[in-house]
Amino acid sequence: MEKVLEEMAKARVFCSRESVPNAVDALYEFGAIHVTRSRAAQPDVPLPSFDRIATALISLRAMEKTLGLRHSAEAPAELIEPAEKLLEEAERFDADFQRVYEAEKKISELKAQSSALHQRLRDLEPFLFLRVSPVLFESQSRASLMYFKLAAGEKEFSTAAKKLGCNAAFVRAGSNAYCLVAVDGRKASDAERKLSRLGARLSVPRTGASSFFEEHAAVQQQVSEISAQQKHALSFIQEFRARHAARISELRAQLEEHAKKAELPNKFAKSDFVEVIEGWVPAKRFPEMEKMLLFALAEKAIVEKAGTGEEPPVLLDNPPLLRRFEFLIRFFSLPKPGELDPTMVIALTFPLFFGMILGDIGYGLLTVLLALGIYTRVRGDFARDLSGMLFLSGVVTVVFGIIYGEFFGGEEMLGTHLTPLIHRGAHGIELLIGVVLLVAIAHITLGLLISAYLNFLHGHSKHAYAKLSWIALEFSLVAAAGSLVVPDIFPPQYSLAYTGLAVASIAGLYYFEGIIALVEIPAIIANTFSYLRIMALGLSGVILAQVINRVPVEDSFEKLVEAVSRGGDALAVSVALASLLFFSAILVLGHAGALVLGVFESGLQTLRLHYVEFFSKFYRGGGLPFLPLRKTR
Amino acid sequence: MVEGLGLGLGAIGAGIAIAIPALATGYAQAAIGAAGMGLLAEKEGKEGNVLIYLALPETLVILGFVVAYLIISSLGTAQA
Repeated sequence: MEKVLEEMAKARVFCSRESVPNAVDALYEFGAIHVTRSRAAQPDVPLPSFDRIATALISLRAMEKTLGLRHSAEAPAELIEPAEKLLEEAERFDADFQRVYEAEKKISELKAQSSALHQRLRDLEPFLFLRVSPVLFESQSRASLMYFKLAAGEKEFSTAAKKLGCNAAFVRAGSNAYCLVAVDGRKASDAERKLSRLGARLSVPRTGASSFFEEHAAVQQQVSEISAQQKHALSFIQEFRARHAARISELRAQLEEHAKKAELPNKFAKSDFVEVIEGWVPAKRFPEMEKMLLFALAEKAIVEKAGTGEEPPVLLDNPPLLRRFEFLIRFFSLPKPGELDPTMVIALTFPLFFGMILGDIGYGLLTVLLALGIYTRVRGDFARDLSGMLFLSGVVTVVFGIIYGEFFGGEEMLGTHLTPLIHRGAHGIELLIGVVLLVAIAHITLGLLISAYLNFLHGHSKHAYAKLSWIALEFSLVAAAGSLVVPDIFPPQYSLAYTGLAVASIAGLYYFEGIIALVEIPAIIANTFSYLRIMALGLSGVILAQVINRVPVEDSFEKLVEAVSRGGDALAVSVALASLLFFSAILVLGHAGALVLGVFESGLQTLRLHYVEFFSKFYRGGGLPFLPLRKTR
Repeated sequence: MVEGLGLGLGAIGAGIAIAIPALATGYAQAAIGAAGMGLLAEKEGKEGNVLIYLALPETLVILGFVVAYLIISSLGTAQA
């Protein structure tokens, strides 16, 4: 039964310093080795190619940033192209890309110019309809011209100007009113001071043109030219991006792999002539690695399995369907060597608990659709794993939806009345509590059985018998409590048996694990009743869905039909239609929100039950991850 | 009147059974959330662990809900 972890072997390779590049190539080709840092490793001594690769990577990353490309951290490239070819191509791109940098620089210069010209246009706008030569505004001793933007009314301004002995001519431009004031040069400052209470004096833009209108047109022409130049530069950059972006990202990803390769010798131990490489390899693949290395190094190397007391890294090895659940184990902690890989168990129990909590045909189908959507639209290993997990959980949710007789919280599905086996919304709760407690006992018992098995396997019989005592105690306590709450499942007439079993198991615990085990007895009771969250969360989800279903969509629809059949009054029909649309939107959004809450909470609480109540019985974790040079599956 | 009083007190009890655990959960999650954000600011990739720690105190409110439900259903049975 034991699902063992892949057996690992510590490999040690001795080769000459000259042949290190070939050794690195061979190891990378093999891929499935977790190279460890040797205690005698000398850092900062990578392969000679590293400098050139690093320089190329800097410029490629700068290009990606300039072109606004998103850098995906989850997509290491399969090494297919030789480093030399990639470097030459990167260097060519670097040369071509100088034109992009120049275009960018030009765009920012043009932006600054455009900004200044737009400001000029704004300054000229009030003067646009003024049929006066700009020259006249220059200071003259006998007469002075001033231009005001009116804050007060025209009449008021006109009266004030007449009192001061000024001539005023009004100009309208859009919603703004302006006034050109001519006054004797000696009275200019006094007139300005008094008229400034009724309007703001505008400063006259300097221009050599014969009119402001002409100047405005000339500036607009310049703005258009600059805009055209900007567009041209931008379209050059966009064209470059469209043609080369994918290849630049690919080059970057592949060169990053080459960089990792080139940095590998930092981990090797070195002497004057010999290099020592150490790493962990799956034991069954050791011969394959040995063959590849000896071939690459022309037999001038020693490849051996090294005995070591070190803890090997852990490689989870599960069939493809179960592999979707491995990330749940990685979320918590990888198993240590000697521990069970719980992926298979969690692959069965996670969808089960998820389905028991969410338990609705409609929500289950939507969860399946969501899983398919993620699988088809989102790239990456995590998305694949999540979609696989959601798909299975959604299917089980549909099954439990049939058991509970629920379709989006209601008892009818497309006109068909659903007959529940367990009616969550009403009298079936006690039955559900009983079922949940049984599931709790089964789950915790499974954890304890796994622990007992592993203890027997490793020769710790006392601890194994202690686990069996825990199982007996757990059953007896839950049965005794259950006989009060759910007598149909735990008949009260066996109370004496439950008590006897409890006493015997406590005695066994004391014998096998000492007084410390007795202190932990309340914990197992708490762990068992913690599973009642399955009932509680499920019930709260049902109630939420029922509340959402109270939105009066059917009533609105009937009102609309009634309004249409009465054959008139467009207003009544519009109101009825609007309310139907409104309530339908509320219904859809409400169920969408309930689904999100349901999926999130069901997943989270199920994980919690596994991590805290289940794993604590047999699982410690703390394993180191196996980090191969290259993914080969 | 005595029956009505019992019903009322039972309902209050059910409310308290939900309210106090909910407050306790909120209090616990406030501290956990703050510490979790501090962890995430220092170390990437720990979002899953932080989410699990945040979910741990929800046991209080869930068990409170169970107690409240049992009170309400037994009140309903008694009334019937």
